[in-house]
Amino acid sequence: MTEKNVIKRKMLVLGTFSVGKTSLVNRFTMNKFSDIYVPTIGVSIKKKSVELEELIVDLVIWDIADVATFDIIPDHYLSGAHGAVLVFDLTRPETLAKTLEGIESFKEKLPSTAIIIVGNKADLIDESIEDTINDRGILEVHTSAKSGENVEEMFEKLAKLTLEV
Amino acid sequence: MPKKITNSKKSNNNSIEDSIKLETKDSLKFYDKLLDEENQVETVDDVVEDNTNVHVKEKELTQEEYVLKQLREILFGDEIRKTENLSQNLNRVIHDVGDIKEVTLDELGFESKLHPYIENHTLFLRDNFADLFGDSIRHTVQRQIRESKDEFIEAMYPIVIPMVKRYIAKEFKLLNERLERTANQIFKFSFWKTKFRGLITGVDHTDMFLQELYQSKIEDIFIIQKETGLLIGKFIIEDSESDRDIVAGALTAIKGFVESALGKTSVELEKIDYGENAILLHNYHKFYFAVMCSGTVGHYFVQEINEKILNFAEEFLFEIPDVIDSKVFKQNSQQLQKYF
Repeated sequence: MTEKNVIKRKMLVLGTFSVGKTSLVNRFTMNKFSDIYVPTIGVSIKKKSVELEELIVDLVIWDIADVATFDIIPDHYLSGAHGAVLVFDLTRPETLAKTLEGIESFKEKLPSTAIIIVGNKADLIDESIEDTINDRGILEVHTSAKSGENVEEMFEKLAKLTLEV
Repeated sequence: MPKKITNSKKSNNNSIEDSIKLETKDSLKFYDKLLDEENQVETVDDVVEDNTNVHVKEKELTQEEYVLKQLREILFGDEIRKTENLSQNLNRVIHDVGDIKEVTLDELGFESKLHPYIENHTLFLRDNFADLFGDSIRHTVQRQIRESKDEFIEAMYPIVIPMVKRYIAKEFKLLNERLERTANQIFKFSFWKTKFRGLITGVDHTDMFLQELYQSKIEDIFIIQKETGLLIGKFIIEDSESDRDIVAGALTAIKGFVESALGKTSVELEKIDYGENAILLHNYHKFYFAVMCSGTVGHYFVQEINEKILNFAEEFLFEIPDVIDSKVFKQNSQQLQKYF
């Protein structure tokens, strides 16, 4: 049996404060969740491999600290990213508005980066959780870092997307 | 002004009786006036003090006073006595209060009674202070330090750092002296050899001895893609639990932060020191090398590493593909292992 090829990918996790970026990353990389909110300072880097049918993707995830707008994120954090998870809080609609506001400038900076918009904290709302494709052509997924719902699937989808672009 | 009183004896036409009646009538009129104008009694006194008519006026006033006294007695007798009683009572009260005020705590014996208790308790507190309040103070201080860690560090920094600097400088001086002595006494041949080499290379011979004593050692070598921070090759001499992919990413983040924070994008970070370790960074266009070293990383050692890495890059890394897969990674890592 031949060894699967391993490809490395740089992933970004972005979003306004307290939407659950670090919780999502911790759930994905360590299968852990904490209710205590500890703001990220600068950037936190973690890694997890996703095994696909033909290859393994090593995701090096850059969990970037809360920023008011995507424009002020330092370029050296963003540069060369293969994929990005833009997180908003399903219980705070204004966080989605903020994400959608910044998405165009983000796409200008990183035109070939695969993007997923993630509505986190799905456990706190009653709506049925469905993945949808919005009119921008960006995949939107609802997750819950607390219950772990859709988290693995979301990162797997993003890993696949990065291989397509 | 009160009406002037005339002497009744001056009237020759009137009998003595008439004269007395008249005088009495005049006097009563005058005293009526006096009663109406009580405040003007002082004015009568003024008249008495007039030097020219003192005798005559005193005589007249004595009679008047007598009548006035009678009149006062009739009109205000009771009130005057009540007022006098009140006045006496008031004086007595004032006198008694004054006496009480002058009595001190000591006269009552309080101070002498309380003092031993206070002194005993103070001594007890002093002797048992640590047992009684030690825990509370420790907890309070610990909590305070924990809650104000940043402020504490800010406050301690200017005090601690100069102390550490002085200590290090002193230790280095002592070490240098020791090295000089040892080199002169024991390694006479190696001393002259090192000194000669120092003269040629321009590196201080003491520095060379230090390098020899504290052997510099390469721990890890990484090749990292500049743009993404992804690890594209590694040579690990001593394995550890840390994930090298994360270390590579974190190094790239730190490097990017330092370079952008200084605002000099053309200047690249070349060395990071931490404790007795250092990370040497060798920058190329699309990638950079990170060499983790332990021991004393001296000038000679850095020069040696620089030369090796330059040769390696020229020989093996003329073209690095953008997609880093396991094949590229393995190839780079094997080359590093062979070369170093």
